[in-house]
Amino acid sequence: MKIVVLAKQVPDTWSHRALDMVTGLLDRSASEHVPDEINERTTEAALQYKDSAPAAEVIILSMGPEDATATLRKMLSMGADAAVLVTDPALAGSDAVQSARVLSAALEKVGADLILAGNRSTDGQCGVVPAMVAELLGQALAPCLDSVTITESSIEGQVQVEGASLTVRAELPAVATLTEKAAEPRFPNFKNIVAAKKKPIVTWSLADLGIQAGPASAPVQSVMVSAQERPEKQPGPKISDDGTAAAQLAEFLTANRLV
Amino acid sequence: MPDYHPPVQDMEFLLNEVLDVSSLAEFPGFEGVEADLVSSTIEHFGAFAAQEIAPLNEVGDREGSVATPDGVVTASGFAKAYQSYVDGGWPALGCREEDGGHGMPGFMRTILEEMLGGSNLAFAMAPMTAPGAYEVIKHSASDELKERFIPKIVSGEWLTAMSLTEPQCGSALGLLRTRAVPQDDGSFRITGTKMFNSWADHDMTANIVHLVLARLPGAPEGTKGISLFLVPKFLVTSDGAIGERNAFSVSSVEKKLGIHGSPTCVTNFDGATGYLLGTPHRGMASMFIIMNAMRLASGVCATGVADAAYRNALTYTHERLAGRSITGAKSPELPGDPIIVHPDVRRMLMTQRATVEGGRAFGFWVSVNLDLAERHPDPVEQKKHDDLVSLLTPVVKSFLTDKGFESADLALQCFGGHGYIRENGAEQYLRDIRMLRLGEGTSGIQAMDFIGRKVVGDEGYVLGRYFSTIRDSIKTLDDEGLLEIADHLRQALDQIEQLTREELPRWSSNREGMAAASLDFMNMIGYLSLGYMWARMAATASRKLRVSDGDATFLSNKIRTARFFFSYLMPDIQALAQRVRSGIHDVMGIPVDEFV
Repeated sequence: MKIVVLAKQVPDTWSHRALDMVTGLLDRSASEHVPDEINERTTEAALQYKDSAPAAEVIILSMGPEDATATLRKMLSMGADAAVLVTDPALAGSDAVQSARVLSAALEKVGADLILAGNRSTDGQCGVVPAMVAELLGQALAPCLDSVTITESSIEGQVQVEGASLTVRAELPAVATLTEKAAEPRFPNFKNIVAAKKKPIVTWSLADLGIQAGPASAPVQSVMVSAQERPEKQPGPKISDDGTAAAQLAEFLTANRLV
Repeated sequence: MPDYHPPVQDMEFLLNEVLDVSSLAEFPGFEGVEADLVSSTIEHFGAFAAQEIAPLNEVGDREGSVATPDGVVTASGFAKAYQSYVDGGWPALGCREEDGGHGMPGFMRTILEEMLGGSNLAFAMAPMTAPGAYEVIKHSASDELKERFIPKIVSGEWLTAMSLTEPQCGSALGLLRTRAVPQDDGSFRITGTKMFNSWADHDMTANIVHLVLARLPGAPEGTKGISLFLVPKFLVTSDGAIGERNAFSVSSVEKKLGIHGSPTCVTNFDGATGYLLGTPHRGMASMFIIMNAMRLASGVCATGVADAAYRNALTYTHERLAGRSITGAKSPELPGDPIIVHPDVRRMLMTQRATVEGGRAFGFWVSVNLDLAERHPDPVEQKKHDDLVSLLTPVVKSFLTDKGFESADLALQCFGGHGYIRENGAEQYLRDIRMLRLGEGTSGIQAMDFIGRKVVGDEGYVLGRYFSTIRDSIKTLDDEGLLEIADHLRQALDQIEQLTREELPRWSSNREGMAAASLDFMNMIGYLSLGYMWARMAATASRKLRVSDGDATFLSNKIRTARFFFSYLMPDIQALAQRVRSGIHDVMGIPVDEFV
């Protein structure tokens, strides 16, 4: 059983995050970069299966700049077996479609029985890449699982939708996305911290995957039309109590759909 | 309640840059010690301490550990958190690989000790005896005992506790009364009452291994007639399984100022089964292996608590608005400026910062020297490092706990009245850290050990060599262009060396005068030691800045804090020197019978 966890390096949510106003892309120099927290939860779900079936292999796959290896090392310290980083100058500013194409190519090369991903990242927040990967690989997608049970041949979990809780199940191979409720990540133990230093992090370029990327080779692509700073926040209206303050407040809340 | 912010960047700078600990990797047994392993340990254990241990700090204070008829029950969450600590493999960090440990140098454990101390001192006390107990059992127990106990202590499945103090004797262990009577099977029956037993009983581990000082029949009077025994809470069968309950019990848990989460027990041994460790009547020497480890850990933990208190105060001074900056409003859009703009607040913060970061460096440096004393391949070098650690252990213990307490007091002061109430956590830090100035020998006891045994005892030889080490480091400061810092350190060193030359012969002939001067003189060595550390940190920061290697803000502020230490804190040695020179006359002036 080979479980591949999709991971992503993101700007620290707690730091100042900025876009480059010329390219519309993330300004990587503006903030510290950390593994997206959901990656640790997804890795935990995979490791819990590995705890019960030690022969299982957990591989972390990421696409990103060269320094994203630090992100991968954290997941290796938790107990994952190996990591793969797809990095290539042509991948800078990839949109969701291109990311999904590249990850799918890498996944075919790795050969996964089960692909786990967070339901969405804290930076782009699109939440569509895993679904695109499932589509490209022709596999089932079990989306937004709040809990997860993995067996040798299937994955099952609970999905909350408006007014109902669904149990979804997919036969492997399959892709599943997990919410932050799915697992509480473990702290790396010292043995794994030491072991992580010796675990392999393989780096693949586009040439290694035998594919091309960039505008010329994209069948469809998102195009950044313009970028501008978020406008300064305007002060809200002030209500002076002339006896009608309660009514004015209620009106304000209703008008802004806050109640 | 405050969050704990592990000092990741500062520890990495200190260990990987200033002390360059990866150079230890050339010594046998330390091959795996690399900078990135040190960084990973700091980062991961810091996250663990902040997220798992620190949230229990206030819980432990509020609930305390409680004595019940079934034994001591710890505060909510403590047992689970300890299990996470065990699952992390942290108890085995410094134990030898042949015993199932990770074989890491002791300074790696120092990282854990500071972070546990800073996140939750009461919790940090629980595993504090284990490293020393492991060493003692490893080197003085029979093979059979080792087989039964060492693996469980290494894994952390069983915790250890230390039983020295009795109601009638603490520092003067020569008055100890607990008896050990030999049995036909080679074991001993231990009978007596012990007190101030930290973590003597609890619900965190299935068994607890006590190391108990007691007298054999016919033992000589005084400390030369004390033996050391291993007394488990539950007897252990030859196949390693837990057997019957041993004959001792905790009769009460002390009510006390701080560290409420740490049970301070009164323990009654009623013919409990114990096993002799090492040679009869030589128990004190073994006990001092544990004691010295605990003394270093106390200083390190004090730095941890002072750091946590400082960070808590720092956050508050950025948020609390009061008055306007004396040079004009700094935040005109707000109803007042944050209090960090005020010079008096800044003075308090800088004092804490210089104390904490300097203390951290001193504790880690001595810890690294202890590793060199144990593993340096050249016996001459080994002896030098051992002598240095022996000289400085009482300084680490007393100076870092005393100054850590003063620092935590300044942290509280930054809150004004809001520090005195429970809500902000500042008063708990102050109550908790206070204990560290008492346990494992008070500061006064440390000072007597320092001046009597370590300085006068060898006629100042090792201290003189320490002075030379510091003098050699000044050249690096000159080379870096840190002339002002170099001058400060040189002047302090000159002054202390001269004072030592003058006073040493007098102390040899006037023991009471020596005792009167002991704490002040040791504090001078404390300031000098922190000065030496600040000089090394400033020189490293300067070198890295010169080649644009690293976080320029962090490095520049290291040098600024070093300057503050020398201009603002180091001058305290003038007053200390004057007190040392003033001699004994005025201290002992009032006769005892008139001192009412």
